[in-house]
Amino acid sequence: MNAALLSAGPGQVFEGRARRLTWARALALSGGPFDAQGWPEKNLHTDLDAARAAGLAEVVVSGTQWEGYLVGLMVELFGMAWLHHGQLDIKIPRSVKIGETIQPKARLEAREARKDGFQVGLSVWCENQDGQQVLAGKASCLLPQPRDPAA
Amino acid sequence: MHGKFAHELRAGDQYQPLEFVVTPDLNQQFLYAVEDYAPVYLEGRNGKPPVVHPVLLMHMSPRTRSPSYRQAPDMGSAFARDRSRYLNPGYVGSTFRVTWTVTDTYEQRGKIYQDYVALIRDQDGVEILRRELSSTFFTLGKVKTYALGGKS
Repeated sequence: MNAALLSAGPGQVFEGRARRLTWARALALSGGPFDAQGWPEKNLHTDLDAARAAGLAEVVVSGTQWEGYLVGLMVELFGMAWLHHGQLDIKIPRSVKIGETIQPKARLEAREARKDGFQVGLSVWCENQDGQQVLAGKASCLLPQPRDPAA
Repeated sequence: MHGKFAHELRAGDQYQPLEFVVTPDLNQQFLYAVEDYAPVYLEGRNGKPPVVHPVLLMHMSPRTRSPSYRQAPDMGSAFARDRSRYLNPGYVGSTFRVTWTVTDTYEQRGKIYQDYVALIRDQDGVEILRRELSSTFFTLGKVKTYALGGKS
């Protein structure tokens, strides 16, 4: 768990690492298992012909790729608590092309003390190299009370 | 639900479930995909195997992964919204089962929308990830779309 989340004030922004979306990373996510026969699988996220057959002018990266960046940031912030209590509500307003750089971000909106810990609410988004949002929404998670080591 | 196209399914209909095993190699492939090498995904803790990166489970949960998913010719689909709840960690070496249940299919502003719930459980029946997903269907060439939820 990131202690900064408990000491931060409303409005504080947490940033994940910016990552450039390369062909290799996109194929790793959308091309099927590396050891599958005929890898990579041809689909609209990996193959221009498949993308055109789906009505697209070019290959678009799967939104799961940068939603994955965001969820990785949530695990960094909340630790294992995210995998038990994490909630995410997002939309993807723009597509992303190979070669773009995407960074996940989160802003603390609320932190409410409860009997069993703190309920934390965040605004979350991912932005591209031009500052345009390519994912936007909200996240929340219960941070359980730390156990008393003396107990 | 064999024989029906995806947009023809109605509330209560289910896509055929999918089972998959997460090997260390597969998990590490997805760590490479998102450049996230946090120790929790690589090393077991407290006698448990490494944790499956959430992005792998997210990748396996759109209805397009179902063996029974069929998209009508000349139609596309696009992701619209995702509400996810993380319920328990998934562990490397586990077998996971994904079920998909349609909760609503409706038309709005000339597009067909479909809402569905994807639920991933492990081999012990423990619920790992629950996603409420919304997607649109459209006729190819008529609607500009980002097509992020296509068959893949």
